[in-house]
Amino acid sequence: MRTTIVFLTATVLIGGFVAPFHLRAQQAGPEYLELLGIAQRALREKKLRNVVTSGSVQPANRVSSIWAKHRFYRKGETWVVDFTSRESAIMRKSNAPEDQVLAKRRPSAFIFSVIGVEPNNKMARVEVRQKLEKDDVPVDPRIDHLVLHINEIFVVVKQETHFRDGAPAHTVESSSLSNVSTGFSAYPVDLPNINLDEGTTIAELPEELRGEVDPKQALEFRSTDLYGRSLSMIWREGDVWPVYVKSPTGIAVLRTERRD
Amino acid sequence: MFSRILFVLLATILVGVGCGKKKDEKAGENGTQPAMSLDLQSGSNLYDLMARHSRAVVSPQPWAGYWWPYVGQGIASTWRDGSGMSPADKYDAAYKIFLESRGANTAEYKSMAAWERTRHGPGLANVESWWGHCNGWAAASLMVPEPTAPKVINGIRFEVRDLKAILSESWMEFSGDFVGNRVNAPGDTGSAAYWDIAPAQFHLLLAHKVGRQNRGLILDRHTGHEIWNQPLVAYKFEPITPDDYLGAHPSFPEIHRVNVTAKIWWANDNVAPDMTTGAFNMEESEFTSNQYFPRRDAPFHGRKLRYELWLDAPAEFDEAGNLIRSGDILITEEDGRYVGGVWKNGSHGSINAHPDYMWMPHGIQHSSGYKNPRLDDAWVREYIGTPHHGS
Repeated sequence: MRTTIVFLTATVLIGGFVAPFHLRAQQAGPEYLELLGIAQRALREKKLRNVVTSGSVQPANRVSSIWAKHRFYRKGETWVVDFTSRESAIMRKSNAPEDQVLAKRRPSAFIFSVIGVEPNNKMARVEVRQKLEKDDVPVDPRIDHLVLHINEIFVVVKQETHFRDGAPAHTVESSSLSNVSTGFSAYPVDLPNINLDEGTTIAELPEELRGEVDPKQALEFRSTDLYGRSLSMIWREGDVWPVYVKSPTGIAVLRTERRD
Repeated sequence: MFSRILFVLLATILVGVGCGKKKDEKAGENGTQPAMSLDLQSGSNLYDLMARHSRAVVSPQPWAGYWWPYVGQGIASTWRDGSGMSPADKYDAAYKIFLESRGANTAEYKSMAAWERTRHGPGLANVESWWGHCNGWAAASLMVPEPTAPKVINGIRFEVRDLKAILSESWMEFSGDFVGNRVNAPGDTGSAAYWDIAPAQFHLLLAHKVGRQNRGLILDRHTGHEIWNQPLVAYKFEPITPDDYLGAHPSFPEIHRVNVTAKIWWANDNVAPDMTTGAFNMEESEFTSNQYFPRRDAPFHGRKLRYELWLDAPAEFDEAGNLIRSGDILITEEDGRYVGGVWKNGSHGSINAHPDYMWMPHGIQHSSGYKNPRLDDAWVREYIGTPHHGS
């Protein structure tokens, strides 16, 4: 009996000590320093990129070749983007193997339409609607459509969300200098900063583009969203929208482009 | 063309040097502004986010409900129901009448309740006590208006609990997005999955998604391997004072560290069967110590979270101790691990130290075998609830 009490007391004391100590480990131990080291490395790389980008003495080389060959939007033109949402079982309240199985779902199609272009190509308004066919479910049942305001350097400066229930549209304005992905959109509307980033040649085409895209005619742009998650985008020469975007939310592929 | 390139050049230089920001704009009411400009910002400047989005209440407000555990037969449970009919039983009864009214033969009707008892019930192998429907409830509570009164559908009376249960089942599969990795192993208190989501991601998600865009979020409040999804109702960042500023680390002089305290409130998934959720009032929902826990079945619970954020430039304060300028919040990823500050919540215990991950649903998906495939989502939308425009 006495042995049991001593054992239990020791267990409680050790447990009470070990748990908080472990929780502090990230704050003061070697892991804390390791994490700071990673952060500092990343910051130095970012500063270096900024210096390279802003310090070049050859402006023509700074912009990507995609940018150099770019043209602006024309009112009335449309294109279609197929978007496959990333499936996840992360939030399922169970560990049952049956509950961790993920479905392979068909992509959702989105129609992009240029509904307005300001004089001198200062700004274009692009409407984005999901194309719903029989048995399709809306990717976001609240939303009727979005309107993107895209400036002359292909930065989305404003996004209007129009709701199905007729509630007033919600507008979020963003930087006019660079695209900042704030993630969590059911619509595939991420754009790279082709005005700021050089882009790199494509080492290996994603399987969705094989046979469809000549890698010599496109560049890849890598960035992160606001939460540090990776985005990979491929833009083909002459297109007005990226042919491929892999974001934390899913994969978007430009399927058709029609120039009216 | 040259002027366009020159414009880009100038803009780039401004962005490159634009780390410290001046106190130049007034914070909005309730910490939100409908159309905020992020010009010359990366969107992650701590001072800017504190000035504009230091607090917010999710609107429309998510509702409290129940998590319908597997050990209780999921939504086929007759939990405290005087009629002895579970939500799934009532659905079967009403849906058969619905089908018959359209001329369908229901002789071969497959019971939704029967599937639920087998697949979301104790019939499932090795069922654990925490398995249940909180993910479906949390998504529904964020996306669909709260059922607030009983409803008679095809002659069957559905109580509030029944309506909420069926909505919860309907939202068990959906498209969405998430940040952070789930802890799967019992006892894991040290893996990368345990330590994420990174504090920087947590702070930026609250400020941008809830504060700036008025969208709702769901968090797994349980840091350990169990899953307890809760829809966020509100957050508040405490003012950052000179005492919170830790300065640069001697070994890492470019990283500027600052302590942050956040209060978060969420809707509860363990309330009385037919309770409807009143309006959340932040001023009346004050914390005692690190928790807001007025009682077990209160509509809202909350937690105070402490963390250290890392910035790319110093934080500066005026003579009164107000934050007037700061660097941007750092977040990076290396080898699959997100790095952006550290959590400081030892007092909560290891399993409730910080959110395990955070997510946002977009829209219902057809059942792939996880949610009850015998539930007709279109019927649910028509008779029980469709998503509202908010969140």
